[in-house]
Amino acid sequence: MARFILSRRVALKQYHMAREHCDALAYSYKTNPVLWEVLRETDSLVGVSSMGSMERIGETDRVIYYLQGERRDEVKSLLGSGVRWFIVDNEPELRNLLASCDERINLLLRVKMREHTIYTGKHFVYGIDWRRAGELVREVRGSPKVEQLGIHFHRKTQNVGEWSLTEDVSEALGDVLDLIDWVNMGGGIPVSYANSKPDLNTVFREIDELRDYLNARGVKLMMEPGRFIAAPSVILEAEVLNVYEGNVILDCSIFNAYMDTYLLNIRLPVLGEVEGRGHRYLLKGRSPDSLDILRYSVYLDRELKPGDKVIFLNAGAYNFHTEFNDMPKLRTEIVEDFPFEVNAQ
Amino acid sequence: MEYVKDVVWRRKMSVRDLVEALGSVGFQATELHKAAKIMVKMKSEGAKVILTFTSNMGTSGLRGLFAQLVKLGLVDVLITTAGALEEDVMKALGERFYIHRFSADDIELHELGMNRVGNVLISNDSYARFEAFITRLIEEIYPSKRSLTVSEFLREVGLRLNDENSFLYQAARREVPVFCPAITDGALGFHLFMARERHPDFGVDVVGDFGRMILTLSQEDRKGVIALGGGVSKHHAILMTLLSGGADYAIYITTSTQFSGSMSGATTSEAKSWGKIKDDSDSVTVIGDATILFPLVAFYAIEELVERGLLKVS
Repeated sequence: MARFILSRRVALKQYHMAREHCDALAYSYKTNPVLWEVLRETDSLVGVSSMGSMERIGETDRVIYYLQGERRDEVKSLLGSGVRWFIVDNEPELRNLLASCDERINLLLRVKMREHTIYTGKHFVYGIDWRRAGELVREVRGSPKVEQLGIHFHRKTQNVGEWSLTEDVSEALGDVLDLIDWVNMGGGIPVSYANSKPDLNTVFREIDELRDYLNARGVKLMMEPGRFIAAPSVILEAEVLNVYEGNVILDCSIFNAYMDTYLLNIRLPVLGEVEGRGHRYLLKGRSPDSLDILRYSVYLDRELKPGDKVIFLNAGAYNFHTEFNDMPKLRTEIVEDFPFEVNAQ
Repeated sequence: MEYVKDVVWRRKMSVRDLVEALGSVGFQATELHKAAKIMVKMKSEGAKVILTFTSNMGTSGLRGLFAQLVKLGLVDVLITTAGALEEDVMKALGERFYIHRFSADDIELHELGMNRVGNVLISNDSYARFEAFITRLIEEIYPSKRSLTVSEFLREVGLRLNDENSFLYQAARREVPVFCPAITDGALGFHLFMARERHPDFGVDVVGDFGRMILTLSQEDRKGVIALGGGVSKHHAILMTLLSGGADYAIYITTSTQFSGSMSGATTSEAKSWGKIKDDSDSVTVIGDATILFPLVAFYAIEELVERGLLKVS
């Protein structure tokens, strides 16, 4: 049966690499909930965005909760359970939160930054307009209910054009930096896939520049590297069920293993993949659906036969399952390390 | 009347020797020879030369030759399309383009994030890094230049590159204008649009550049056009010359033929009917792939001009 395998060593290595570049790190739980079982032994905070996830996490003092339509009683419940970090992305939610709390909280206002990509136009962009956010920072700074105050913004992980961080932050928030304690950078940090190999040196250079800029103004940088930690930490191990005319049927599907193949056109690299030579295969999911193709064309250094394993790399981010075609959810097994080296860069 | 002569290889044959020999072969070889002669003539008689090329020429390895011609002072104006500019920048930033196959599996390439131009591949990552570069560049120039013509904008781009083989780099340092009337026809268009979303008063002015194009060579005694491929670039070049009496010299190299009535296939002879090329001009249309033909024409011209003492090369 196909399974995900999570390497503690790789997860912690990725965590420490990211941690060097920020003052605090928050792992976004939804990226891959299983990974939190490893990261809870670090000093990582955890970003949570559903009441359902809260029930599984437990350690409320490390939670940064993204409010998104929670009712008054749910907000009360979160506060009562000990959650003290909140992110809000609209004013009604902010008012509701402040009215609900009796104790001091740490508040991050999600800011809608100026977008740097044409693709954003067709999507809703979360957050409070940066001009209005500046006004709210001034208002909330004086609130007796707010201990630490900051802003949160998102960049899209796989789009390198988004990474002009210092310019973006200084442009949008330069006027209010002396009023806040934190800048939280969400959206993750990119990793390599078969069809995208971002330049991580550039990304980390931009992050370091931002951190220096903020620290010089007394502001700390919190980072949410999400995909950067989750993706390389997990492999998808699938079994070959059938091979015919270069087509390989696996014992998993994009629908229960990796929907991002379809949703975001992310193509997972395969262990043993060689460029343009070797044995060419189409790696098919186990359904007759025409969308169910994990890789249309991959060249492997070996011939595949039924019973062989195919290992998809960088498979740990957003590998949620769907109930389509009654596909079973794949289990994630945590091991100390993979029996091979994984290069996430 | 000249006679056909057989072309044969001989030891230490130069490009000039080869092109001279091709002149007696017939068909397009003879037209190629004529083109090489015209290129020499236009420079030896002091003409100002407009070089136009299409995006795919920038994709190919011709881009370094364009830069060299600018550096050597053999061309005075460049007109091209957005793709050539983008790819010139990408290459200057160190991006590599891959030689592949015409008969590629394009679905496989899509899966790998590769975009095919003939038998050459460009990765999506190259576009992402180009986006990062150009976005940052616009933010850099915006505080001091909120509205500038396309050619002024491209000069700003060229000044920020560091690559001898970049035609934008060479043009910016030698005051050779680079025109791109269809600046939005590519990734650049998206990035310029997004820049305007960020800064509503930012813009690049195509009409302003059109005026500059018309006036740039209007007072010159002699004008030459070298058009590689067709489309917007080629048409703007001959449009430039129309208002001042037409081009005195013209070389077209194209794979298109005239029979569909397209600009790309239009011959130098057809341009005479419009007054865009003078009736008594030295002109030729060579049918074939510029990636093969133009280096022969240009290398011949360089060797001949050097031989005559009209061009110095280090």
